[in-house]
Amino acid sequence: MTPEEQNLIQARQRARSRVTAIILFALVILFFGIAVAKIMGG
Amino acid sequence: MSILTREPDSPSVPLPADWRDLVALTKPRVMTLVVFTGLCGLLAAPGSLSPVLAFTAVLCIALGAGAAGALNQWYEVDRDAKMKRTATRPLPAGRMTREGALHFGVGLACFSVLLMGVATNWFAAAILAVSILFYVFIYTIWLKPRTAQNIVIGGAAGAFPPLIGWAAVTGDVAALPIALFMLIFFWTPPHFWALALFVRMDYANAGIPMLPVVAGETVTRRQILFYTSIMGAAALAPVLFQLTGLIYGFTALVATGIFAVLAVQVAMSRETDPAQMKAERRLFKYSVLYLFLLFGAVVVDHWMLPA
Repeated sequence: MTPEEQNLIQARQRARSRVTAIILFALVILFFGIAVAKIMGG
Repeated sequence: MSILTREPDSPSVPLPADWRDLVALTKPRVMTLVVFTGLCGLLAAPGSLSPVLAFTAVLCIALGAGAAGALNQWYEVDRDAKMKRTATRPLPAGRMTREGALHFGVGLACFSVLLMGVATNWFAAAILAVSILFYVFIYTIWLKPRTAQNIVIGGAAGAFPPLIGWAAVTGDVAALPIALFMLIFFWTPPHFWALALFVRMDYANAGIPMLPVVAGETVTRRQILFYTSIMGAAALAPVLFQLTGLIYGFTALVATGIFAVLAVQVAMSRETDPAQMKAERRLFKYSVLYLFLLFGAVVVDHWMLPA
């Protein structure tokens, strides 16, 4: 594997990790919001 | 989920799929109209839903549509590779494995249905599940490769969102969301056949029996006009049955009139060169705007003239 290919793989892995982290964080907020809305709604 | 793949330009190195390819797999452009009609169904429904739950319902509709799009691309990879319009999609371009796309689509479908059920109600979740299954099994796998009526019957898959949005609020369905379902159902043939006329060769090369491929352009043009007349009746039905007010009625009358004029132009055209098919392109573009206008008017009507 050439250094360029290695860099490309790492760049993609980093980008996907960042997107995954953002989605997970957004889901935490969303589930918290859903729980609050359900409790408030009785 | 295995989404390692070998790209054509670097065959020796397995590359992880780019996250943008996963987004592209969900057909985000198609999703826009699905989300909008679902949102309008939700906003036009009587009763209220917490903004968080309403957002979640619309998110689930978007994710469900994305899952259906991903599963459609998973199944159609060989056909997509033969069409200019779809050859650059992640799967035919070799930027992702089929297995990865299947896992992504099934996972997203299950997540969207479960989240809809938990956040709103299980009736809305059931309709969402039916719409995904209908699109994948009835339209993509059964009808599309077999019959020229594929998008007539398959059009039902795209007509579910207003029902889902409405059901998310009320827990049931009523006459208005069913009328909106019928509107999208009868809008689908003229919309897709206008497109199919100027990408006919693409469909022919891929072996998809779209109406212009199997019945010819003259029949397709006549069928566009026929379904436009039924769509017009479906568009005016909500105001005639007093399900909506005059704002929708006026919008539907004018917008449908313009649609009819464009459909007549397509019906009268004898153009055979796809590059010169201006009337067909005009109808296709306008048909998207048409649906936005009518669904927007349903919501404005509901807000201006509450029952």
